[in-house]
Amino acid sequence: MFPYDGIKEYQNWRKSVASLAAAAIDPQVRGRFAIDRGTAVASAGSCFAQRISESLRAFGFSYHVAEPAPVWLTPEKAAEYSYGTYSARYGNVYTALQLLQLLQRAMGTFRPAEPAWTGTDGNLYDPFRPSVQPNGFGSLEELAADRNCHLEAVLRMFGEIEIFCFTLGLTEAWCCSADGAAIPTPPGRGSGEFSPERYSFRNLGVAENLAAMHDFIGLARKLNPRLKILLTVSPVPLAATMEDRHVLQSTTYSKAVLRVVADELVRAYDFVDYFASYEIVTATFNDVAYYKPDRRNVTEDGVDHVMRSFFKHYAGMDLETMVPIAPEATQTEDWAKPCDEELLLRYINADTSIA
Amino acid sequence: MNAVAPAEAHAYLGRTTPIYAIGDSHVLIYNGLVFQSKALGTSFVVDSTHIQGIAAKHFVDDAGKLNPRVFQALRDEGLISDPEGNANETPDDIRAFHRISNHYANYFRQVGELTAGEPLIMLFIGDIDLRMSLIKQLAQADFVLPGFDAAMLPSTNAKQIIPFPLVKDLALSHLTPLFAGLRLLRDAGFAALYLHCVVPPTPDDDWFEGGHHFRAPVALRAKCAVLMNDLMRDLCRENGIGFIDVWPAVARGVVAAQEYALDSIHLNRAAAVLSVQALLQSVAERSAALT
Repeated sequence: MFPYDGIKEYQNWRKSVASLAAAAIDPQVRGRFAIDRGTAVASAGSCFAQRISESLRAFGFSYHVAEPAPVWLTPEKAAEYSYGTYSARYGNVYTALQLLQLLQRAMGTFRPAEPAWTGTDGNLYDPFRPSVQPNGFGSLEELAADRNCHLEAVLRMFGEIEIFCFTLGLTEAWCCSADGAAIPTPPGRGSGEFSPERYSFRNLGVAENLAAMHDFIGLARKLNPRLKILLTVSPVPLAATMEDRHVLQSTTYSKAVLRVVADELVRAYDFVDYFASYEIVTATFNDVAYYKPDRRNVTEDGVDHVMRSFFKHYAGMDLETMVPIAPEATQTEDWAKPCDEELLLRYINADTSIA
Repeated sequence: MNAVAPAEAHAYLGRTTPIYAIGDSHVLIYNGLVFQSKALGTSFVVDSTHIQGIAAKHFVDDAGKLNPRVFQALRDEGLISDPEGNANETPDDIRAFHRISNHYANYFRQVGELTAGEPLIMLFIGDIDLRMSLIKQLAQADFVLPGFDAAMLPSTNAKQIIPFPLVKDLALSHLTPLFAGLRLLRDAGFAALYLHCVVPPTPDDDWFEGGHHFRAPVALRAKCAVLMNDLMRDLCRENGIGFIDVWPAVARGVVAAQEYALDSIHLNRAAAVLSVQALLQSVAERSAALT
């Protein structure tokens, strides 16, 4: 007897990878729970999470939006003001720490001291979602009123949804030195003023990410005991690293940590699942087809492959036979809102002194 | 029956100068009000033309043509020429009647005693856009209006704050067609063109709901009205059009003073008197400046 004799096809590299065309490789074996068009799904995370939410909406799934766009707003304007980009207007939530603190802020148990950032245009920006709307806010009053409503919406959202999809994006984080509040991007370009005393760089390891995720899951399940969580790891490489090493090394480190964290959580909780979008894009040997020329952003073909697997394993549907109900939900590049990391890349490239 | 009635029973007082109040239902209270202006040395009577449901958004059509009902109202008052005699369509080229000099126009001006000078026109447009569109579209939400002090009003308890630039754009989408039309009238020869402000709201939410079948808190209604007036005032200034603002007189804070409220929407005759007096004062100042 040999222990590998009875392994399934998907456990065998030759049968499940080597012998298949890249587009036919499906590293997801099953979904731990089912999603149908009536399941209330919300999402947050890094840039790649936007693509999943767009597909869900396009195919008529019940994508929960706690801060909907006013009905009179054009789709272009709605995207510009981050309506429907995610389930609430929190912008990109790159790290586990950011996610935990978002929920803590919504619950009123964490009140960061970080004040609003002033932009070069004189407007005010929310440090926790600096690009949530163009030109920031006109006054502190407006920023505070908007933030209060936003956090109330986040709290309502966690109470109402059935499945929360979170795309783990980064391990590299920027925090306010005063109280550890995690911010998506450091100040200093366009809004706010950077100082090494006030802001500190952290590269969160497995233990720190796990701790933040355990705390988040505990709080979220307290709010909503039936909540299920679907984790993915973003296949989008880092735009830049603060570690003194090659950005590619930082990328593989970051993704490896996040992949470990996701697996640990799946092992710890029966209501948490991992969806292998990261593997589909990065490890099916199809990178020319799945990455755009910038070698960061994922192509439509890549997203299609991801969603084909997603719908098959979680909705029991075949993407080939599915007809988009709201195709406009899939943004065209003309008005897709750039995510914070994309902006970071632009800032860096705009000033070579940083590189 | 006597062919000629005794003169002392029906004294002839001469002519009064008309003020044409044209627009939504706010014009009705003005009809027939008579004023004697010492500064201008003449009397005035308000002639109201109600264009039911007229909204700023529909003041011109997509092609930039004046709303046919506005055109008809002006034509029926003898203020605008209708060379094609087509009541249902706005001609491509509209011209103020008092600017036309031909036999036909001269005859009608003399015999019909139509105004020979610049007619005083006070337009009441924007309130329907405000109540039936802007407020309705924001009714579940709120926004922060720069400089607006809502401290004295109950909170809206809104679940969502709409960014101010979006609300401003929404309001401007209603006012842009109105001002395109006002420029068209100005260029057609109507130099004494005044736009009346939208009036302050009633403080009573139940009263408002009763008349509109949707609920909107007073803080939101007041904010929308102030925004609308701010934009109208600026656009009037930019376009050389008079703006009649009676808020300082008829509002207590940002809501209608009880003594000037007629119902949940309109102001009463006392407020109308203040509006016309403000108009005449503006005319007098303008006349003084010209002389």
